[in-house]
Amino acid sequence: MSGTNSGRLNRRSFLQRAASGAGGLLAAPYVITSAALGAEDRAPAGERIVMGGIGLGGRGRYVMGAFMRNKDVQMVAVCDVQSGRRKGAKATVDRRYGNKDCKAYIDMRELLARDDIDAVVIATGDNNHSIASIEAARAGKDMYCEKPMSVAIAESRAVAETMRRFSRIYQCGTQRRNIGNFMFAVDLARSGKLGKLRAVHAEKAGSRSGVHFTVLPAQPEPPREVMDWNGWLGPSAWRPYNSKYYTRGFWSNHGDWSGGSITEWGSHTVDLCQWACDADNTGPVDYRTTNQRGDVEAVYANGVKLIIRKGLRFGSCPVRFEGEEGWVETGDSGRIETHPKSLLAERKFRGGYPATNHVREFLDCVKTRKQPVSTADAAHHSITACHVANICVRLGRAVKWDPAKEEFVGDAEADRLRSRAYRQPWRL
Amino acid sequence: MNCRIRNMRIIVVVCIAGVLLAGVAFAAAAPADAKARREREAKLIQTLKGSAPRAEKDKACRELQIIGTPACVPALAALLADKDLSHMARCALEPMPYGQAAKALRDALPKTSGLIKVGVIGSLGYRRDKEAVGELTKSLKDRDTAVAGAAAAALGRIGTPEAAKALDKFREGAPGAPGLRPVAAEASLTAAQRLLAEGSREQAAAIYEALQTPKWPKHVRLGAFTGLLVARPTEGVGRVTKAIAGDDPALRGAAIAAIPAMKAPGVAQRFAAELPKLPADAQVLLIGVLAERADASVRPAIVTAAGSANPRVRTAAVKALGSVGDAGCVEILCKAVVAGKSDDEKQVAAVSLQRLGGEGVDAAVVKFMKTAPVGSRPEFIKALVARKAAGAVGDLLAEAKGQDEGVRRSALRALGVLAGPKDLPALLKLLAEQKDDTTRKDAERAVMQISRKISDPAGQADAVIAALGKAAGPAKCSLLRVLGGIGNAKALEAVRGALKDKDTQVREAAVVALADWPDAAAAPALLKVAREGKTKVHKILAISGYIRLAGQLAKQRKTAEAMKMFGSAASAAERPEEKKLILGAMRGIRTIEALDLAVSFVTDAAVAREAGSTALELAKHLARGHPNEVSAAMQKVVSSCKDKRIVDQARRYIKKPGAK
Repeated sequence: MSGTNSGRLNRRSFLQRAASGAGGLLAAPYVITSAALGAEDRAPAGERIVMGGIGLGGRGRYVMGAFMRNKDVQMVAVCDVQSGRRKGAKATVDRRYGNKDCKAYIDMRELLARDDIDAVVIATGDNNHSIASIEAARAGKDMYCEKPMSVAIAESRAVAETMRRFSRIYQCGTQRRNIGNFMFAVDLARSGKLGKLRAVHAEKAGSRSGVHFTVLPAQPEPPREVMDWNGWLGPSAWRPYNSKYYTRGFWSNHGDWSGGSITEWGSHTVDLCQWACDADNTGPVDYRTTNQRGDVEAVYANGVKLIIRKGLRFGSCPVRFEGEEGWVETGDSGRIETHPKSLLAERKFRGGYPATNHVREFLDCVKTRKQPVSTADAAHHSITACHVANICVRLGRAVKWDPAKEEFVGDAEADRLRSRAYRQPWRL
Repeated sequence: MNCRIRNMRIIVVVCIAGVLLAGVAFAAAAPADAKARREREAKLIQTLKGSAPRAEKDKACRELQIIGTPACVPALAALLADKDLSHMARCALEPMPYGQAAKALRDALPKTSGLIKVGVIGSLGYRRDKEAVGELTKSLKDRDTAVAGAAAAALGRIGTPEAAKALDKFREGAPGAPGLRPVAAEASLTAAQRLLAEGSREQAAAIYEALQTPKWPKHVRLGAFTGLLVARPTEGVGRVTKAIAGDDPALRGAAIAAIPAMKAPGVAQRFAAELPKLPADAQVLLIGVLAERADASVRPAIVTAAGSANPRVRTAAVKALGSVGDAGCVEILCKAVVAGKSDDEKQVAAVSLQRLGGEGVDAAVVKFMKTAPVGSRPEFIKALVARKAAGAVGDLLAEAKGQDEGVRRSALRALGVLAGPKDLPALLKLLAEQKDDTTRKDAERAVMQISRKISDPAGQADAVIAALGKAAGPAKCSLLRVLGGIGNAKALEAVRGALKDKDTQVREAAVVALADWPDAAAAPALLKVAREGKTKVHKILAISGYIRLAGQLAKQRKTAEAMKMFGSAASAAERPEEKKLILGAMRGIRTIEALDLAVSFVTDAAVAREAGSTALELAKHLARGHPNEVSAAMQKVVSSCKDKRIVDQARRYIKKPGAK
């Protein structure tokens, strides 16, 4: 981590983006679609980016809708292991285009095998985010993938390397990087208007950190067409079917499939803190828990503290950045408070966390081949900070992390938790 | 709630409780002292060896992942060929920092097949086990393509020169199974990444070169292309130039996207030279990345592109000039603002004009503005404001005296932003000269803005007050409105003095200024006018302003002061309209005093409904803490208000006889 402004995004372009609130990227008319690029025997596909959706529960359907509102998107296929969601998503797409052309798949690999698809939206459960991203890249697709990027450090590292390997556009669903109040707050931190940064605060989703590994009694497994249980489990450990596993409050705190409270919101809030600290390519080095609820205080090499906790203001996913000369706090309500007040310069922001700007940025990047602001590398470092915090909580002791080597310092026990062996046939 | 649902809920609660316990147990399962660990490990080994159910053995594997030593490796190794437990055994073995774990995985290769073997190979790959290269190379020939593919992927991850060589052969041998070609390509790219990371640039480059041929899918070719840029950085510029000039749109896009990372001197100019040779779409992309570099050397090429016949190229170039242009580009941009062939082009040009850096730009904009068609001048004035062109104040003053109303208004608005206190006399003179109401308002706003820039708040009104003494008629009215906007003590004194002016219009302007006063300092003067004003209009203006200020205090949570003012307003208000204003403003003040004041209006038939509504709104919030007071108030509402809905709701808050 260096000074205030050495990152990829310089201050001028950052403010232009903040001012436009929409990514500010030139929506160049040059569309490099799969038809134009890859299949030499076919005519260019014109202006449209042909897309598919993978994992289409509530969030997935919302993001897919945000994509379909762009005229240069044509959604042609959907995939979900649950029949209700699969059929609902197909109906949504068909309704949008007034036809029955959308194809529905149970297995994402079948969707990804289609040559006519340029890009995919991935909004599966956390457990399958990494493998779906990697499989999409292997198939030559660009992708928007929901957060959190991974369940283990090694996974998101693999995602980032795979994107580089195939020169793909990957955008993590950390859409607050394209929302005005958060961009403004980050700019205050990065531009030095808060003075030298001292601490950045990231809210976690629930009061308690940590995950569980509960085993539930087996239930009769439904037919694959109704629920592809093996597909839902993906690369995680096999276990007998129980419908409770895939209720949201359950899987999102289960260690096989998620990182619980810290990754749920930390994938946004820690990510914003990393961005504010100009630390997109690194992370804190010392982690310790500060209470029984599993709040975590981490320290960057330059002394700035990252505090993962509850208790911030202004709705969901709030953050607070503190410098020697001022502070800023904001959240999804759109409210923003600064000290001194003059920093705010009477700026006002709308609340909510729409995906609109983020989605548009992704589409522009697919066309221009520029990388978006939520790159795989940046998201990897952000989610790594969350995973390391979780390992600290799980081991019940302080840990030291080397962000360059991506290993714990003198801590072989913690190192073993960086990865999870993938269940065959999946591989990183 | 039926029994089944209740039971399910109980199960969930138990599970959640189990979760927390499991978390604690897990942490506790890694005992700090070595002896306890050894004992725990021995127990887990026994679980694996015994006839425990699968779930127990799964759990033991999870724990051994963290605390396992070489002692547990044999027990785990024994499970590697087990179709149910192989994966969990790998979960424990894969991250173990012991050679014994790697050997166990290697030893399992000949004992496994199919998907189980695929998993074991994957774990060896994850570990980057160099000792497995020989066995994995043999597995490339496995008749099971899943095994062969897994072996290729693992070799790619291991990425030693030996592994890369095996992959070269595998890849170029064009495996027959259709699924193996992409795996072979991916494995080679992975190996190349590894070789690069280890410093073996040439070996990596050779792989990338091989994967650039058209027989490989586009994303493989793109990956190889970008890999080559890293592996052979000295050839990067030539390679990118060639790709840009080539006929492969895929490579061209990737090449252009790679330019921002290329920092060598002269690079931008070299790419800029390619611009005219490219198709329009590619020009647009290249112009975009060249603009990002903000390198003056590309300016001539961008200027040329700004004259392109292609509208997209032209617009992209006009936009780029905002980053790479200088004062010499002002004319191009100004002309595009005036005569751009589309609204988009005009707008982009205007934004570029605002962003343009360097010496002499402001002066060049002013020079062009002076001779530009009148209709386009406001756009240039806007650009000057955005550029914070303080040096343009003199010219803007001249424009503010021009014939065209649009230009005058734009100039006056700009002066409010750009002019400083030293320009105040000129602005005051300008204000006095305004003949129509529209431009007068703009001039008033400008004077107000400039006055507020005076660093000493107490002195902000001095120049305006001085001018007030010499002014008359509409100009004097303007100055009073300006004083209302400044709103300091001296301004208040001057405006109060104007209440006694001989001119009716001036007196009325003074009342308006007081009614718009920014804070409650004007309240006493307003109340006096409201009570003693000589005209009805003055009284209405004053009481309205007074109520507004009281509402302002209420919003600032200065409740006592606000209520005192509302009480005074209630006694001074004569018309139902003002009484309704009071009742509306009080709805947020949740005190008994506010409730009582609202209720005092219910006997006035003209506002009884509004009074009842406000009283009811307050009662909702006060009933719990003040049941008796609210009950009494609601009785008055019920007895006087005729609105059935309000009466019905009010009755709910009336205590029944005998109730405590």
